[in-house]
Amino acid sequence: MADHANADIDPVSAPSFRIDADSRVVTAGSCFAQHVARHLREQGHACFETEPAHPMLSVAMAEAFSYGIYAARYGNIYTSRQLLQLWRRATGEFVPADDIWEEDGSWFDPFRPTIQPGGFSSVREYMEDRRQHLAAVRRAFAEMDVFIFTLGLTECWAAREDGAVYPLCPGVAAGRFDADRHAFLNLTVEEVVADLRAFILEVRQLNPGMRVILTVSPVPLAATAESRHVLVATTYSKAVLRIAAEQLCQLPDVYYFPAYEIVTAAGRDYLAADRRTVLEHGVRHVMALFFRHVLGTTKSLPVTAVRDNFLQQGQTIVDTLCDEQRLDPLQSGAAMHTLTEHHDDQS
Amino acid sequence: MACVARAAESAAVPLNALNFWDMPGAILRDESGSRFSVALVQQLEQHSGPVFSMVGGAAHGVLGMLVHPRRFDFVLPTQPGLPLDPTAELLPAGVVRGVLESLMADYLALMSEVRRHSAGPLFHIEPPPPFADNQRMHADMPWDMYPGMLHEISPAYLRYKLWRMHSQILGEWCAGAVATLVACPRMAMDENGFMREPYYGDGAHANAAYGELVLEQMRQLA
Repeated sequence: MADHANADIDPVSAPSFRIDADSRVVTAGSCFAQHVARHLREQGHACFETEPAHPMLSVAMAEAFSYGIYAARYGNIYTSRQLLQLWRRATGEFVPADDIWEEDGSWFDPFRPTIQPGGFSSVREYMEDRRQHLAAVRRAFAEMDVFIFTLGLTECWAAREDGAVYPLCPGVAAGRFDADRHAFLNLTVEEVVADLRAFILEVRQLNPGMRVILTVSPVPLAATAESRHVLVATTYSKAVLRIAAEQLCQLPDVYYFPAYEIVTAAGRDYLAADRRTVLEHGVRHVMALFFRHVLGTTKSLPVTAVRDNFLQQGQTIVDTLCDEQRLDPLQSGAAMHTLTEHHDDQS
Repeated sequence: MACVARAAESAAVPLNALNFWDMPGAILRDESGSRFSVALVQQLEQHSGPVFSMVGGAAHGVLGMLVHPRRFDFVLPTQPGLPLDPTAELLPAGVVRGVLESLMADYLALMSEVRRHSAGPLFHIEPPPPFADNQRMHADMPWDMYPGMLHEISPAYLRYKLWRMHSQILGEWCAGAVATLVACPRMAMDENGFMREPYYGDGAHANAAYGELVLEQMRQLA
């Protein structure tokens, strides 16, 4: 190791399975999981999407409304508890009591508070969207071949009433924090293992062939709710997640990919000045090793979002219909767009 | 706005009509957007008003007159209880609004130009409401002209919601531009807000009787 350049460090052990070109891959996890999905798409491996952007949407609008980032619009899943909860909500096994947040006339999903700009415009829109979303989650997890989960955090906030966990502390992006209703959790190794073991076993009841790739996010915590320095809190969280991942690899077809080790071995070289953001060449190194060891096929063309020409066709139809109206002899010289009242003094 | 033009002609109402489509070179487009030619600017600036704008008005039809191959629907924020197409994918209202706004951007820019060069009152005429009878509309569509699209009229309430959202965007533009959005003649609409049959023209337009109602609104405002 001492003589190796960062780019030459390869701590990856061969997995017991490979991702093929036609594998239905679903990714989830913390922010770093977005890099995984993006690089997979760029290498021609379309992630399995069950709630894809409508083809009328521009790329920017799709991104703003959290389409195309993961298989469905679930946003970042920072903790093992959040993942298990999502699955149980999708199957109807768990219905959180804290259901919806209202703020200035907009409605927010407590479990996806940043999923779309400004929240939902009405209670009904939220309810209908949530029903559609959870069905998409259920289908994604029930039909996927490979699940790549990036473990991000151990710290989270939960409802005291029923234990429902939030991706963000209530009051950060929406909602209101209430110490009587919200409690801080810092998951232990045993809890993370139990959550993910339950998730894997429950999903495999519907989807016995699911294979799992676990990674630990190399991104340090931005803040901690523990009364200690964030660096110490980060060490605890990453240690818990790393040990939990190791223990979970004892399950069949569960594989650990060492993204955390690849980035941290490079010291500051792969981190931006904020000491948190993984620089793109660090991500590329991680993903290059991922492709070399885990993907069963070589590089192909990037996967791009499907867009249609419906709006252009619709415009043509309307223009044509308007042309027909204009050609009507009854209205020769008549205005179509701007009419100005004729005044005697301007005749 | 052919129906108004027809009504004006029938009623011998003198209108000074500026149809941008029939005025080659009237609209100049470059990277910064659309603007009017010097001649058109002069024509507007010499007019003391009022100006009645019927610029654009079909974006909701572009988006939703025909069924999209991937059927969609949305919950209208101002009337969330309206029916949803049970076979359609739900899109966030913000997404639908964003698509509508992108379709309207060009003619909102033209309306801004009208506002900029018109000293007097500016009224924008709300586009006519949708017609609820899909079968009647379907029979009137020249389908052979539109290969490659589904030959199915969108559910009436989707078309209604798109029309309402379109009008809301127009209303917000008017509020910011010291202009007045002239709402559709009340008597042309049924109790659910759809166009009544006597005012139906074809799949995409109102008829001259509707135009007469609008013309009367304009006369009262002039």
